[in-house]
Amino acid sequence: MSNEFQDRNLPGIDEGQASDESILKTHARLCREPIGASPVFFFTCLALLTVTTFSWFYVRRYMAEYDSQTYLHERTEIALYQDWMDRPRGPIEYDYFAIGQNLYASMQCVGCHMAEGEGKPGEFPPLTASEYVIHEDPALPTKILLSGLVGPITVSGNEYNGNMAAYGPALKDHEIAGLVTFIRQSWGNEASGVTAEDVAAVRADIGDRAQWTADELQSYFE
Amino acid sequence: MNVIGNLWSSLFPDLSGDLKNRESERAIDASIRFPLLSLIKSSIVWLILSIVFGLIASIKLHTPSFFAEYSLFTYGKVEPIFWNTLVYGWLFNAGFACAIFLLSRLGGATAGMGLFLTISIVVWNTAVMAGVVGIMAGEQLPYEWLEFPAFVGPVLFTAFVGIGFWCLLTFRNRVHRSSFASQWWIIAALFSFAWIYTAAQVALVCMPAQGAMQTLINSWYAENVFGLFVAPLTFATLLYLLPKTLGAPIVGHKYNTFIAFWTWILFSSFAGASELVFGPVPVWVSSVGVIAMFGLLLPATALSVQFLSSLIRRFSAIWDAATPRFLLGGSIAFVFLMYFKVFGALRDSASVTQFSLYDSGVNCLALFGFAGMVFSGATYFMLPRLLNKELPSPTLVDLHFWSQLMGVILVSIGLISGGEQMGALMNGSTADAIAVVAAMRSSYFMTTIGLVFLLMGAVFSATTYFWLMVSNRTDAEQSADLIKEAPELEYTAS
Repeated sequence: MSNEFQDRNLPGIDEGQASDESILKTHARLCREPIGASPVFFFTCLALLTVTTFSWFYVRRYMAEYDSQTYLHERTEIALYQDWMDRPRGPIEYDYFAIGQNLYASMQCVGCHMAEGEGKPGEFPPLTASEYVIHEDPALPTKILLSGLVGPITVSGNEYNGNMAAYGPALKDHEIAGLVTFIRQSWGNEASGVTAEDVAAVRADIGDRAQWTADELQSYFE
Repeated sequence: MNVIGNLWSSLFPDLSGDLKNRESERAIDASIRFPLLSLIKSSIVWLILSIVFGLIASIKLHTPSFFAEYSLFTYGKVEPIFWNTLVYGWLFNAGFACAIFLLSRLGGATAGMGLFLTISIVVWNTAVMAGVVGIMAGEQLPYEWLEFPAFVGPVLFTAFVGIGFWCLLTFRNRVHRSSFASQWWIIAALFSFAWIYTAAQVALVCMPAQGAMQTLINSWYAENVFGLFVAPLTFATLLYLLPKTLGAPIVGHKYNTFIAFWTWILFSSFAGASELVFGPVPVWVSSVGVIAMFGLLLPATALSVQFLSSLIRRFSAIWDAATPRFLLGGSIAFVFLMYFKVFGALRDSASVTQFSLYDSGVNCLALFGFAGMVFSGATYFMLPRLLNKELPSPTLVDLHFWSQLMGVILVSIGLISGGEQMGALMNGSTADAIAVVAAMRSSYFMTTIGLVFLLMGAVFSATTYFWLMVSNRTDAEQSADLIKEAPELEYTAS
């Protein structure tokens, strides 16, 4: 092994070329220097320029809030929605029978008067072929539904004594009208239907009152 | 060969000669000898273990039947063990070693309390070991770089607080009042890791965030382990060792102090969200991540120009010693790393590289190429000073350098260009999975060969360490004059 080769070997110890304290002091002194030309300064400025330019365009392109296309898109959507909301609309046409059918099953009605309108003996009168229901003046069942009914009552010759709450405060006119129409036209009943306007008239007529008793309604059968 | 006696004399040198020479530096080195030796030893052991697991994972990619009959060595366990031991085993130990050495030397005093520091280090490595066993037992958590089971987190954190507390005390005890950029980077790294680790543990393990927030927190954490801990420690080591081994001030140090430091800390902490481009988060979140990642171009330019021009200015000195060539390797790796990181985060490239091996390749370049090279160089600088011995065989150091360089190049090419190829193939809507895997085989082979090179490098450094510890102390090494006193750093306007 020649000397030349050995000289090219790495030394066993990396000599320290600067003492620790002088590293601190010299670099602290360099920090106090005024800014001058330097490759680092040049390339740092170049990088600053690149980063700023890139960020500017990237923000405009990908931060959704700053995208004018998005705004335009949203505006057309909003205009379309407004047009739809402002579309010309005629008077509302209710399918009273369907409304009543739905409410009869989903509310308490079906619990007492039962699914076929047969009622419960001695307690809740039937609706099928009941003279109160199929009375020629639909105001009678409407009144009962609006203000409720309490105490003994004779229906189709049978005695009943129950308590029906007032549904006037809870239901709207078209819903009352739906229920009245439904019970007057179901299970073999074939009486006339009512409309929301009829219910409104009855409601205005009777006002806010306590439950009816059968005696108060006797005038309809005289 | 009297191994025990030699080991004893390595750990407790009885020096003769001019004891006035480098008296304060020798006192500092002696007081941190045990902690540093245990850190360096642990880092090398973890590195070898980690690369072995990485090799198994890599071989499984091109030969799936390899070790297929052992449940311990399924890809799902081997791969997280590889990354976690690499980060928490190797780089944290090596990084701690550099931080402790730099703070003590630059401050001109240590905090004492060597036993406290050594215990913290032992707890740290025990926790990492427990984490690895936990992953093997199937207790791993589903978060990238946080796969250690839940019970490891508090222990790891306690050990970290112990080591960090010692470092802060050392910084407080310093006798040189002015501070150097290295010290800032180290202090920033210590506080940052305490912050990101508690935040990630609380938000992912203690009170797990729901849904897409988990991926956001996880990518934020994984990016910041590198960006706010490993990279700052590497910068600190480079900034100290460049003037130390080349004998000239850092070029353009003035601009490094504020611009690079603050912009790196600012942008790096947001850059993690860029991994979630096209992900299940609002567009603006990933856009902020991409912009922050692109902003890293600014500190990356400042730092790499500084490192490279400092090195090139003393180019002849690079080949005269072991440490500077590792620093050169690390600096060049840093340039490539930032290129792949910054331009890989853009939406156009992410549409190809997303869900491919690209990110693993960039991480390998960052950990093995950038941080690994610099920390290895620092190790070869520290070891002779700690033990007052010469490196037993410079040829081994030489071999370590070239095999690590070769390994970094092969692994990076294999994973980064392979990842691009893989992503492009998978983007076709009619992509045939088997055809993609078949096309990727050459890249997988290249990665495996690269890992073999890295393993060789690690074994060479382990040999150096072991040989250094047990070799007989020569006459020259018994003298306190073995290491020459360093001259003053000359002031040259830059």
